[in-house]
Formats: sequence, structure tokens, C-alpha cells
Amino acid sequence: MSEDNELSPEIEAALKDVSAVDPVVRDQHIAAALSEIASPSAPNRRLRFLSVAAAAVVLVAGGIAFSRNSDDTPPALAADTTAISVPKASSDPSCAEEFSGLWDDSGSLGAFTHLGINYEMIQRTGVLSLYLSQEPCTKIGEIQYGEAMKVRDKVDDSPQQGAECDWSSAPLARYTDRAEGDSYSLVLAKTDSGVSLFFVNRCTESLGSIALPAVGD
Amino acid sequence: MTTDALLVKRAQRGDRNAVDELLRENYDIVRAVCHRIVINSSDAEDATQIALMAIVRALPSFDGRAKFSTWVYRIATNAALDELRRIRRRDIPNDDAKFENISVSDGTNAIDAQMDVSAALAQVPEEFRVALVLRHIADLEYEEIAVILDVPVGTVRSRLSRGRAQLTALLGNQGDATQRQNNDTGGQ
Repeated sequence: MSEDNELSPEIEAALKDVSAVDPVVRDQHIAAALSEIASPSAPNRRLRFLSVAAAAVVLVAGGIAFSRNSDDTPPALAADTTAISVPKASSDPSCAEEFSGLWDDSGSLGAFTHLGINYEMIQRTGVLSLYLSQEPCTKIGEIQYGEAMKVRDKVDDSPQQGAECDWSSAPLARYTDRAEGDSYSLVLAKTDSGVSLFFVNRCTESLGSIALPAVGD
Repeated sequence: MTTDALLVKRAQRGDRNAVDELLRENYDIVRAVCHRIVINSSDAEDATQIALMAIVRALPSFDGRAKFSTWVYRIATNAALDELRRIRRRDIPNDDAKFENISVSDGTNAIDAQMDVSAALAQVPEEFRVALVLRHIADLEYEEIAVILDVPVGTVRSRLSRGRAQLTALLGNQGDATQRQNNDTGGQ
């Protein structure tokens, strides 16, 4: 369909002429978006991590055996060696990989960028944690909602009256968690000051929030 | 099947390189849509990020009935409008206020021209601004804009007409704008 009432070429060109993008920012944006497809491969990353951990255990066990065969090395030193945090020794900066060896039910919900800072969302049953996605991973907050799920199990689960929950573009992550045999759909959404967690059909009742650093404001 | 269609298919099957390529192909236009709707630069960057993530999340559900680019613009527009709603809830002045008293330059300098058009766009009502962006940045047909905004084609035509007139007037070509507005209203 052709329309004859167009803008002048000069104005149209100015409209399209948005300031040039910083290639670093563009790459960060795309990397964060690609992390949305990273979740299905998490088991592979976990497997890779476990193989690294297993190799570390073999080395440590060999060290213990060697130390026990040596009269000069006290047993306590070998015990201390086994206490070295293997996840911290991982060369992969991914927070998900770093913590996947600690909790069987943990996993990454993906990453996002806010004001040029990358964050990674790690979830395990009843807890959502937010980390600065860097080496080493640094936790900036967590939301514990396990009790809220248990309470929810005993109340009316119908959609909230008078509140239309439209998550079409707001959510940073949408996932399902379980408590006492029931599943609950949850949404982590960006808010004015940070991120907040909601049951998917209760968009006005936050389960908890984490403030994001106001860098660059 | 076109190259783009093949790329989309590969992306839908989880080919990370294909998704990366699709995002890079559409990055500039997604960012432009977000910047021109949201206006405030840092908020527009956030909207761009959210739009890209939404595109990746929604890729498996793209059914090919619309053009892929139209589908992308719809997501970018929704992300930008959602960011505007967040800005309003924030209840602090955004860049719109800063632009209210900016004088219009002669437009000979590229940066001046860009500032002018941002300042002028900030003063165009949101519903006209969104229509202008979809038409003149995303190069969408009226019918496609109508689908994205879920309004009749006549409403799109009206919003564009009034938006163009306001934008042109704000940028100093009031004579042209008046003429176009007269043409538009006379044709309906």
C-alpha cells in the first residue's frame, strides 16, 4: 500500500539517524540475549564442571594417599587440602557453573544487562539469587520464597481480581518451581529500582525484590 | 525458502550462531525503534536489551505468518512502550522535560539535527510517535502498523498524519506541515 503523505526526506533521515552504538554495549546486549537459550545446555556445562571436579578429586585423593605414605606430612594437612573449594578453581566465569556443584537443584535462569553491568540469575528450590556476572561471581542479593509457595498452597489460587498481568515484554525470567508436590509459575521482572519476583498471576504482590546498583544514574 | 527464513528456522532449532546472526541483523533497527519511542537514552538501551531477550525467548513461537522483521518490530515496540510505562511509574522527570525548551537549530549540523529530532519527537504524543517510528524507521506498511498496534488502518493513517504535522511544525517547516495536514484530512 502506497501513501503519498510522507515526511520530508531530511526529517525522515534525521529520524533514522540514531546515535551510533558502542560495539561493546551491542555485544553485551547480544550476549545477554543469547543467554536466554543457554539454559537447556546447562546440564552439559554441569557435566563439564563435574568432570573438572572429578579430576580435582582424583588429584586430591592421590595427594592424600601420597601424604599418608610420607612420615613427614601430618594428616591434618591432607584434610585441609580436600577443603579447597573446587568450584572457585573453575576457569569458567559462569556463575551457574560455579554453583552447580553445590546444589543439585540449582541452575541459571539466564543473564541480563542493566546500566552496562551484567547480572546472572541463579535459582534453586525456593531461592532466587542475583550475581554480578564476573570473575569471581559476586552475589548482590537473594529472594527466599519457599515459605510463600507453601502458604500459597493453602489459599485460593485463582487469578488476582482486578489485576491484569501482562508479562509480554517485562520479564527477565519466567520459570517453574515446586513446593510440597505442587508447581508454581514465577516471573522475575525489572522494576524501577531493581528486580522483583512474582507469581505469574499475581503481578501486584511481589515475593521479594533485589535492588540494582544505581551506577550511571 | 529465503536465506532469512532458513536462518530463522536454524535459530528456532536452537542454533546459537543463527540466533546471534539474527540479533545482529536486527540490532540497529530494534535499537532505533527503542530510542525513538523511549527518547531517554539510558532507558532506551534498557528497552533494547529487554527487546532482544524477548525476541530470543519468543523465537520458538514465531510461526512465519508475519514477516520476521514485522514480528521483531512488534516485540521492540512492546518493550519500548513497557519501558515508557516504567518511566511514568518512576514519577521523575525524564528527558522529555529537558527537551521542552530546546531551540531548533538550522539543521545543517548532523548532531544538531539529531538533537532537534529527539527534542521534537519528545513533544509528539506517544501514540503519534509510535506510529511515526513504525512507519518511518521500521518502514512498515499501514496494515502492518495496524496489526502491531491493534488499531484500524484508518486510525494509523490519522495518527501518522497528525504526528507528521506536529513533528514537521516542531522542526520549523510549519508551512509544509499545514499543507500535509490539509491534504490528509481532506482525503479521509
